[in-house]
Amino acid sequence: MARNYPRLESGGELTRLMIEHYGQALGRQGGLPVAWVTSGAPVELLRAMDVLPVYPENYAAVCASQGAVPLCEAAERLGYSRDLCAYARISIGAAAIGDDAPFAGLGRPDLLVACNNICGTVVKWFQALAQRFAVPLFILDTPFLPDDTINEHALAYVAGQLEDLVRWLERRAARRLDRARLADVLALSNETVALWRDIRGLCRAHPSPLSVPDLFVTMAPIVSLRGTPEAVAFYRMLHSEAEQRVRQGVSAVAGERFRLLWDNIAIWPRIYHFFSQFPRRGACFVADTYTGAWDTEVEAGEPLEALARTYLGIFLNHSLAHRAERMAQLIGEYACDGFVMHANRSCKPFSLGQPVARRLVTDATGVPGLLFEADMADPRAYAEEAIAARVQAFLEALDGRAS
Amino acid sequence: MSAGIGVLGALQEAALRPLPALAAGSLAGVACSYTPLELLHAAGLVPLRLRAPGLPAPAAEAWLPSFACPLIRGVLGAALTGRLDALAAVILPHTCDSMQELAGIWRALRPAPPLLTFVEPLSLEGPRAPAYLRQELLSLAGRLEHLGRPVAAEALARSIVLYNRLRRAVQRIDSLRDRLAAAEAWAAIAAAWQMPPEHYLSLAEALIAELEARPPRPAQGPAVILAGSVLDEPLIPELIDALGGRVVGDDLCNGTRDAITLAAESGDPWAALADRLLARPACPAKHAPGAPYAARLANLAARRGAQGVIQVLVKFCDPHGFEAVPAGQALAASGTARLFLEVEAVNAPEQLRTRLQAFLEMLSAPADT
Repeated sequence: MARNYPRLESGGELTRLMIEHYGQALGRQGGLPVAWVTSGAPVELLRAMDVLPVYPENYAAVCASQGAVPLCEAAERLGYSRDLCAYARISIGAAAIGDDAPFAGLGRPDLLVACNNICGTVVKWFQALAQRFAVPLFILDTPFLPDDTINEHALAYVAGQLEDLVRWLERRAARRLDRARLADVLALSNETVALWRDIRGLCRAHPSPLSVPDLFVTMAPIVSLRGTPEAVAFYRMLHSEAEQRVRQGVSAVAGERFRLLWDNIAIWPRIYHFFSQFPRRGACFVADTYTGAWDTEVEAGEPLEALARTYLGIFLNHSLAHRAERMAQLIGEYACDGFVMHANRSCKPFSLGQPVARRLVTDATGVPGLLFEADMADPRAYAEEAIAARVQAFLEALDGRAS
Repeated sequence: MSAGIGVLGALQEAALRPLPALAAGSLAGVACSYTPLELLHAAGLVPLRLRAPGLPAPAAEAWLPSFACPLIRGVLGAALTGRLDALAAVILPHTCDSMQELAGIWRALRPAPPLLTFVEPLSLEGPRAPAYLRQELLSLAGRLEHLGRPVAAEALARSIVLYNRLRRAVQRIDSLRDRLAAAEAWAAIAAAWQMPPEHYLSLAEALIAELEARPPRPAQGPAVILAGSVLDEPLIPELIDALGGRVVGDDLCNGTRDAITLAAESGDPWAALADRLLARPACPAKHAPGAPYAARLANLAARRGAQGVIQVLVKFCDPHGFEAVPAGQALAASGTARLFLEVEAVNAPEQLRTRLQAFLEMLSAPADT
């Protein structure tokens, strides 16, 4: 399918970087122990201890973008219901079929580290992986923040578990935590996070230099390589490119007329197909609620307590009201004309409250929202014609409001 | 009608009614067995389980996607009709992603009643979980006090004793299932969640006395365990009765799962409450690697001499959906048959009947045929 927006020059470097990352994981370069982790895990600690973090979520997204129905079906044959998270099904299915899966099913972990700050599903998923691979699993339990405040006992609980995680890693990876090294990794992580936030912030420009699909594609290093010099170098390159586009007035979407906010994880199997419906009518997604999950620096001070604050405070660990407020805030900051919500069958924390959030956001901003149901990774849940009709009607309504 | 049947009838009626006939201002709605009932009772409240009793919930339809579980759909539906407005409070523990989101949705749509969240640990065996949970219980007590419902340690200690007695009564009814039909046992146990504990105890202890005086029913028909999350209506046990099966044990959220573990009656009552919640048989939403759910089901089936386990999966329940796989493996390894029965908000009895009939017939068939 033809692209409706200019290709990023940084794309080549991104591909090289991610191939190298997966190559390291599969080749166990330098004999480093490999830990499979969730996207909300405190990866800085692992990197500081020379444990190589690998992300089954990222792997599942890559597989999904290439078509992962056979992997879903492999998990379903084991008894996992089609109603369960498709990332989990892809990952479990890939582990089951091993060498026949993309990247040989991501190889084999030495350790598993899961953090429930994004959902409870990752815990069940990683329990299944722990059983399959017979490797140790550490659960970092980060209490949900129903009132959006981090109370003292939750902070002490998580900081204490981070101490436990250090000792657990020291025992299993036969490495000591070097505090100076941790400080270096945290500095790199913070620099990466700041660059990523600034890149996203550049989309406040009119026209926007990047669109959300660009961010979806380029977010892999902020997830997988946070805390490395390679991630910093990549995001400096991307930042320069986006900044140059702003200076030159280059837009992600030719003839930008409408600016939109995206809510939820991408629809990886149809990412270009789905988003191509918008540029045709001059609609550009300039902000989103997903790629901003990695936009909080680790504060200065005692590092484990600072890490505890950061990983407790991520977007999805907050109340629905907070998430709706954040959306309204983004709509204001990025001057959005509307928002599109993907009710993602695979992600209940992101999706169950969306009908309510849609009303809250529209009440707060006055802009309309489209809500439709699909799935981030299982294309069988994508109703092509129905979604196209809803998108068409939404864009026509935006046209009507503009005229 | 004997006195015993009258008692049982009262329990059956209580298990099925949406709200007891009490002053609503003293009721606290709870939606999960991880709610610290003793704490609510010590605050002068009557904990009442919010049921999602197999009915459509039209008021909730506009506010939930199609893949929301029937439990939160039913509870939200009841809340949005205003039927729960007069409750003194609703307590929603953070058991799973769906329960987490229910709190936010409810809060946004309906100002009454006051919603209190309670974030218990997910990782139950972690060394830091008891201290965290004790503080979280104190935090909940602080919020109850803010509602004019202070909790004194002495009152909490008394409520612990009362609920221990209630749980012993549930355990005893569970052990006397051979004198009850499956639907009767379901109601006698589920009613513990639907009425004031003192009232339940008076009925349950009378029922126990009655049952102890009765001979067991003839042990005919295949023996099964009923497992799953919440079973809010008696349809499945009624069908099992009608098809000649026997339920010899359960692992249900509103069954015996929460009744197995008692709290310490001496020492710090806050720590006792925390320790009980962490030690009780875990919901599949939790991480408890030392006591896996799958092995628990297989052991229960073996201990009770069950030939099969009927695992009821509430549609879109992720924790139970994931655990269905290791549970199936563990049951197969122990030679126990398993019927995996997915249920929705509203179920067609004939479909359930057909599947249960096939399963029970298979269990009844001689092994060599």
